[in-house]
Amino acid sequence: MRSRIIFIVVVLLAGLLFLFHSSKDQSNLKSPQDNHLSEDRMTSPRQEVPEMKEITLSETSNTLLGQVPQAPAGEGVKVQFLDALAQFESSLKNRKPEEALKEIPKLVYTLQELRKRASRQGDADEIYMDLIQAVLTDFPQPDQFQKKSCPDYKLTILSQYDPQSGSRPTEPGVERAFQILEIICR
Amino acid sequence: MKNQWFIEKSVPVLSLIVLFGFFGYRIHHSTPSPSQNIELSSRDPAQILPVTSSQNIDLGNLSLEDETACIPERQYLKDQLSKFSELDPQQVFTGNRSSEQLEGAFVPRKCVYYAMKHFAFDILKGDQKASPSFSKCEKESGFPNYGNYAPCLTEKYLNIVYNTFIDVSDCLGLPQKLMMAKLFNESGFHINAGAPLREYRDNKIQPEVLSYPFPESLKDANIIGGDAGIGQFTGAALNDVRKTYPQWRDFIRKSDKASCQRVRDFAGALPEIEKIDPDLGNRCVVVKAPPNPLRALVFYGIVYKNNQRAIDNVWSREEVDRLLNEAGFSASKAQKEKMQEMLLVLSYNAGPKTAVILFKNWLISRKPIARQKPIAVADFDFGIPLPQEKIVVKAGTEAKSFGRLTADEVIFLNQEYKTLSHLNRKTRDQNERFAILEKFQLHQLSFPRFLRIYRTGWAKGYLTYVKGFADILDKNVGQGTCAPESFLSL
Repeated sequence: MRSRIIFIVVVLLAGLLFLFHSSKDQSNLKSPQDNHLSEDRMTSPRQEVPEMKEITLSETSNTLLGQVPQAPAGEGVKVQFLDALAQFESSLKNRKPEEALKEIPKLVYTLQELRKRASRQGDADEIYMDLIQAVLTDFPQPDQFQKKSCPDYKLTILSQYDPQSGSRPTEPGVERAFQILEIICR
Repeated sequence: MKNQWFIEKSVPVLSLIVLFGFFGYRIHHSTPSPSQNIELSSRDPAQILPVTSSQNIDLGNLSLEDETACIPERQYLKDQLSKFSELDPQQVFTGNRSSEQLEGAFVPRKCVYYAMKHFAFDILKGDQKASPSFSKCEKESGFPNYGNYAPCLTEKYLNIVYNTFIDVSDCLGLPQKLMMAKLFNESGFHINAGAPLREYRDNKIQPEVLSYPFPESLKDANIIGGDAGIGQFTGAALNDVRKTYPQWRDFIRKSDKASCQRVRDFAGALPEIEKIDPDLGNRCVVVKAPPNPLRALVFYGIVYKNNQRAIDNVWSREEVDRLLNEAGFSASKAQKEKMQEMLLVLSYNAGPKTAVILFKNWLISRKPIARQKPIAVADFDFGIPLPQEKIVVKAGTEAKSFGRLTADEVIFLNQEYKTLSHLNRKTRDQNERFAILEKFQLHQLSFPRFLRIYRTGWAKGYLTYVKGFADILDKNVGQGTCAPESFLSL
């Protein structure tokens, strides 16, 4: 008997929430449409904007929300990858540039091995990590390093990986490896 | 008992459904404007690309301007071009060349004329107002002075630009039609084109145009722009030129080609390496005429060659041939060359190595579906427009067009697509949402769509944008006359 009452209350609550949701959808309808209108008007004043239609997903699709991971699967390896970089970075304090550069191949190897052990990550993360590794690989050789050539090393990285940026890369993966070069050059 | 069990179990399930229903997704259909296919320029994000009719342009007898008929604000190149003439007594660059002298030309003069005129007047309206995209340099050193009208489009100006373009491309063995499309996009062949300086902060280009030198408050800021001259040189590109300049200068000096001879004989075209200064404060080195545009075009050709070599190297290192096969595409030699051409164009914006890394990752992303959906020729076509629909990814957020989806949203929507595709029966709403996701093809992205999602920064649609310039030439001057046939497609 008690369970039956709970069941009825839940069903009523569901109905109320559904009504509330529908009215909210109606009121929300205006804002994105207005945005869309203004966006189109900026670029094409004569473009006719069709009436916007909003669809609320029914329960099957909504339950998907609970199944989709909030972060890309396998986030772990990226965290480990960045940890290894940060660790290397902190080891650079009071270190001669040549010594630091000698350690770069070892760092790249560690990063490669970390990734080999994990499954493929999301494409954005893979590109990010690829770029970091590639830029690190392009660092100057320790026996050829000259501090006065640091501006040249930096510009070389920019021309190969992000030529349209300014004094620093805007591409996140390139930027992350670039930071390490900056520390070595400091 | 059974009934009670059912009710007890159904209470939490129903509660969950109610909760998720409250945070449900919504979508809507809309038709964005055609201009959405044209993306931001690397030169000035504010510019869009109108396609004009060719009715006003007499391509047979090019309607060039008379210096005296141009308003004084447009005559600022006059002295520099006269100086160019003085250094060219045989008029090999300033004169109208005979067909024999144009032996190495695969692009007619009207193409360059059209690009100069369209860029200056139709895009920048430089005949009516000063534009931050036109600069002045009084000397070979120093930073250009931005904010000028378009220069007067005289016969001498056109001849200098066209003849130097033909000679440099012939001398260095550059594909003229590809260069044509690219330089139209870079500068519209104007020797004093430039990108205004702006701060890049919080992952955005700030709207305010800055002047040089910067105030102390911007000492550590990331300033973008300052691209200068016919080739829109940045500091990074000039530094890149320095790397291989001695070899290319030797090549030009020793070459038997008449075009190379003309290039090397012109004073200042091949300067001492010390002059190639990547510092922003010396950007006039690739703007001031003479010796520009000759010098800047030589430098542009060197960057092309360097990028080509870098792409070749990374292509091999990343085993792109193998990845192509694994993604289900058996590419011919000609198709591979077309792919490398795409990466070469992309490298002017993304850098050659980033371009190949993006391509490699696209191929890997297609590997799991290589059997059901092997890569096809259409997957390389930058002329295919993006879907026009918009989709609400999360409840309460604005509907997004394809080009605005983030990488995480793609993962999210792909998961939904997967689940919906396994449903035997779908509701009307589910069917409609499924149809949008089918059009987006997020689970089997083509290369252009992959770049839209995963190329970071402000130039996600760069190749589509460059293709837009080639399309303008095809439409207004003649199919395949100026730009390569099937440019940026296989």
